[in-house]
Amino acid sequence: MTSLILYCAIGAGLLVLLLLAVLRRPSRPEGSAEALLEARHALRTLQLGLLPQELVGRFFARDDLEYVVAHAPKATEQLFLEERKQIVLAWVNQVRQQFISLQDFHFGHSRHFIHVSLASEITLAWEFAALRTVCLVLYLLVYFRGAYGAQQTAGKMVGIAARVCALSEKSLAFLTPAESHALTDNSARGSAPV
Amino acid sequence: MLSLVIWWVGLFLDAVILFRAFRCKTFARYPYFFSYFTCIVIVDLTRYFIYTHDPSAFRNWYWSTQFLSVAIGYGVILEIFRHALAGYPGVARFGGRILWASLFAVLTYIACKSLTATNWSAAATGAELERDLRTVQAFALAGILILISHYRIEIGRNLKGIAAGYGVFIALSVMNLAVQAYAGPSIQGVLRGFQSYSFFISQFAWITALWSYQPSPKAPADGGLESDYETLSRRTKETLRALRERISGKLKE
Repeated sequence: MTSLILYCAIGAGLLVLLLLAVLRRPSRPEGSAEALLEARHALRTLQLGLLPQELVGRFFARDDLEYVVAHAPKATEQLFLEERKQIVLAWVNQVRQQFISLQDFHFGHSRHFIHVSLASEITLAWEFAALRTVCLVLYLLVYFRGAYGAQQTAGKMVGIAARVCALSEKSLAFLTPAESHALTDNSARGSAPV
Repeated sequence: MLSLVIWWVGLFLDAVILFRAFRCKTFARYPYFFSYFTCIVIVDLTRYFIYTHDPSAFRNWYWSTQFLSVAIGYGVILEIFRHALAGYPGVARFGGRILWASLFAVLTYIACKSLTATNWSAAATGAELERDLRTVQAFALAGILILISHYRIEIGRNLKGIAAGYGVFIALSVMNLAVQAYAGPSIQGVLRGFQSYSFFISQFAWITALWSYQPSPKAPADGGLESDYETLSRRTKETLRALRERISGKLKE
């Protein structure tokens, strides 16, 4: 009976994959100016606007809440909690979008190269998936428990983001393997060193 | 009588597919697929001949030709692999590994199972072996589909149709053969008929998709992309390094 279920699951899984492949919408051509600009924008946004620890810390800062609880009426406290929740939800959405953009860009381009590392690609795919899952969990936590019920998850997300960045950097190393040789070997004798 | 009518309809659909293939010159574009398809048509014709002239010999002929059709079915997987990943050598390398890994895993499983098997019945063993060989194909095709989807590789209408038609046939065959192996010889006649009907779905998919030649879009030219990407990757690496240092530095605080 177990083998029957297993084989039926394999068959059903293949049917689902086929359905997804047939229904998949065409993607933009990679290497287009729009794709390059979007990826650059995603990286810059993540670096400068969305992931700095000061910003993340500020979103979940307890002292803000304590100040409002101590000095403001109940209605203001409610308003503060609601607005903080909306801000955090918008932030989580933006982070998620930027990581999806970065992921699409990375895998859309790495497919063209022969020397792609299988281990690195699988690890990256796993880390991106983990990051997106954490984003989803964080979104749900904030949505149901408010901004102050999800501090630990936010910390975890930032941690995974750091790992993803490290792995992305590692996986991109194969793209410019000859760079250092080109820089050192091509200088003519007597000319200025590169 | 009904089974004969279904047979005629099937042969008519085969003829239409082959006629369109010669008319639109798609036969030369997808040689592995159409070699497989031609073999299937020949096998079907011989089966029809034996079924109508010597039904007692049909059973043995069915199993021997069935394994031939499973074996040449790997050509369809190869065709999908060859066309879909042609412009993407890195992904093709992954795909090759997935194909070998799935073949190795299932053949090891079959070998272990046959070593431990105590009772052998020709029909039950035949169904189980075919199920296992079809499972290898299911894994290989699933691997290719996952790679295509993950790396956002565009495939044309023809290839989509070949994959969809053959994939549906494999998926339904695996399920059908699993039920056959589980239920035993009593139900095999009915289920074998079901397998023939499931081939109709594939035939319709192939007729629709292969009516005219519509190749997969070409991969972007490497030269321009490489220079684009080298510039971008240098900057990306710098940005990622800065980002990582920033985040990990803050995490340590």
